[in-house]
Amino acid sequence: MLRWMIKSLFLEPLTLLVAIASAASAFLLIIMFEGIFAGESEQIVAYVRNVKADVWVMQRGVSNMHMATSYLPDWKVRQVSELPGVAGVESILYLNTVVEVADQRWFSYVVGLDVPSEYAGPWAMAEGRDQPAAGEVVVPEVFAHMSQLGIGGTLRVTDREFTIVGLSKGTFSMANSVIFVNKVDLEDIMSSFDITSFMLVKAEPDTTPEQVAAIIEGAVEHVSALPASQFLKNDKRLAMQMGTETIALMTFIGGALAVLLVAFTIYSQVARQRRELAVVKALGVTNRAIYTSVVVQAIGITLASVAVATMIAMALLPALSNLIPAVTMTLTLVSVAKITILGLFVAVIAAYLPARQVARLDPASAFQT
Amino acid sequence: MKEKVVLCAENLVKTFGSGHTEVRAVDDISLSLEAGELVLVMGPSGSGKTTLLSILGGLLRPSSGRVLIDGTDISAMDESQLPMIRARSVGFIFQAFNLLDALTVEENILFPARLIRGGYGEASKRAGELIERLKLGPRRNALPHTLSGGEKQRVAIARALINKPPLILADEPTGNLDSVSGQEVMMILHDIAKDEGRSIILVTHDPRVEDVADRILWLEDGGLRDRKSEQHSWVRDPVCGMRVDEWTAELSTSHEGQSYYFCAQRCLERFKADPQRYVKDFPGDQGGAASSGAISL
Ligand SMILES: Nc1ncnc2c1ncn2[C@@H]1O[C@H](COP(=O)(O)OP(=O)(O)O)[C@@H](O)[C@H]1O
Ligand SMILES: [Mg+2]
Repeated sequence: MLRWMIKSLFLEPLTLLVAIASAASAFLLIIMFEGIFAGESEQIVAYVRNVKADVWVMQRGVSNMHMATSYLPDWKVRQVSELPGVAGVESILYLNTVVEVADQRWFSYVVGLDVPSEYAGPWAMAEGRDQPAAGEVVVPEVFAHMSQLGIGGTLRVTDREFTIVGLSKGTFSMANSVIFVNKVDLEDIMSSFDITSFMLVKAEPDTTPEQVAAIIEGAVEHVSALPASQFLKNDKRLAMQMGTETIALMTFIGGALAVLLVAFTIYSQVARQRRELAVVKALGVTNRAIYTSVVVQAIGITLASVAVATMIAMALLPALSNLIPAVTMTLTLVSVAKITILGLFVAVIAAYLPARQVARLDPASAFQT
Repeated sequence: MKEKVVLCAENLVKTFGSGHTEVRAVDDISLSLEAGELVLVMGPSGSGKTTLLSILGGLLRPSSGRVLIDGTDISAMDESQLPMIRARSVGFIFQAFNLLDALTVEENILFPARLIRGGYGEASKRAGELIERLKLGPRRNALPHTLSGGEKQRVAIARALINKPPLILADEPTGNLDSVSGQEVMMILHDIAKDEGRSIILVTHDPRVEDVADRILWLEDGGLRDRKSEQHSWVRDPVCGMRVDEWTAELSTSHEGQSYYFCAQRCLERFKADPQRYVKDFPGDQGGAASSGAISL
């Protein structure tokens, strides 16, 4: 029975191909969207992930960096650096603002570095210096690509002009890029002095980040100290939360599209086979056996579509990232698994209508000419 | 002759629709069939032959009455049990052949064998024998669309026989065949009944089979009627010259106020393509409106 149905499908290979291709594009849409979202979420936490701090210290009550504000008096940096278990401290001043590049406005983290900085600055450079002096800025390489601005070009941050002295890698994101200036300039922009936003603390080799965080919170008033892993997790959750609804909507739309396409394929296959299905019913095939084959067919087409979509995505993602550096995409095993499970739902839903159609077919109509 | 009763139908009635649109397609028919019997069902178009066959084969539920196949009352069965009865006990042969396009000759023949439990290996052997016997050897791996009409119907016959059903139901199996292939198919069905002891109910308009049938049932307006042989109304097919019964012929056309009857679709088509040619050869031989029908042959 199933063999017959599958052979019937292959009797019209072109139709089958078109069906798989169109359903695959629906799945590809979901994969791409998830990929972009996953990539962008990763980028939102790029700074927190890449700087080499073991413990983050900030104003009490603050628990993450994205969209957060934190102020601490500068003297607390010295206080923290003298605590047991602390191997080193670097501090940054931090401002969320909009940077205008080539007529486009990019929401950015502006990190004011206490130069020379060993690990709070850019973690990978494409070109130039990574320690901005007063009046200088280090921007994402992508900015330069977008605007033909290179080293020596100028850029406005708030009401001030900065000269680009370095192009950093991995610091661009559509949601928020990271640019680095000298702390002096940022203090001036913010009209506040002797303050700091975050302390990036290195732990002694024999102490864990958790222990150091506890020591700091016990000894310094009005600060929160979090192990870097916890701090990263908080930021990630926030970044994800912002996109979950959009991604859910897109997944739903893509999934619905795939349902329609697979359902249409199976439905038209069943419609085309009305006569033969009536004949096999007359010959003694049960409704249940036909249902099963219809569902298996739907699953087969869907899984083939998912596989095709995944392969295209795997081939396309790296190329696309190179082509449009502004977009960061990643394809995770989790999203492929998610798509596969979605695909199975798609198949079962898609098979429902055709199965009903089959049930209503009158086997006696096999006698009609 | 005390043969085993294979099929027994009691007071079958089938109505379609209701109220003043009600059609009594089968009207109180009872019949029984012994093993090895070849019974012809004849009657004008719309007399209920196909409906009767559908009920006997468990494809259609009667409005009242019951059908027993091999002693099992299939009218009392629920919907989920009927497919198994059809697969096991009934072989269907259709006018439209109804082979499965995607399967080869051999796969088509074996299709019903997969629907019943066990013995697939044996069925596969039997398929080989049927292929030989029905002279389908060279076409064993061919797809249906490459076969001639006669070959298709021979495949359908093999498919109907593969599960060794006691009952074979054939609805105008030669309706789409030329007269030579039709003759061949009729002879095969006859041999099956006589050599293998299978009971066959054969709906046909082909008067040539009347001679070899054990019984002829005459259906009119859903009911069984007696028909004396003088009730034939023989006319000649203007194309092939074969005699056809004007009353039962399903294929007819009118040309210049005259009606013409045909033995097969092929003859009708040839006639339609060039009526003048056949009318010329057949001056007034066919019953027209004026010559109220019967000519004796
Ligand atoms: N499914 C159906 N619904 C309604 N009327 C039907 C149906 N099947 C057959 N009929 C009617 O029943 C009568 C007998 O039809 P049928 O058994 O096909 O006759 P035959 O095979 O002798 O030509 C006809 O009047 C036909 O219109
Ligand atoms: Mg009929």
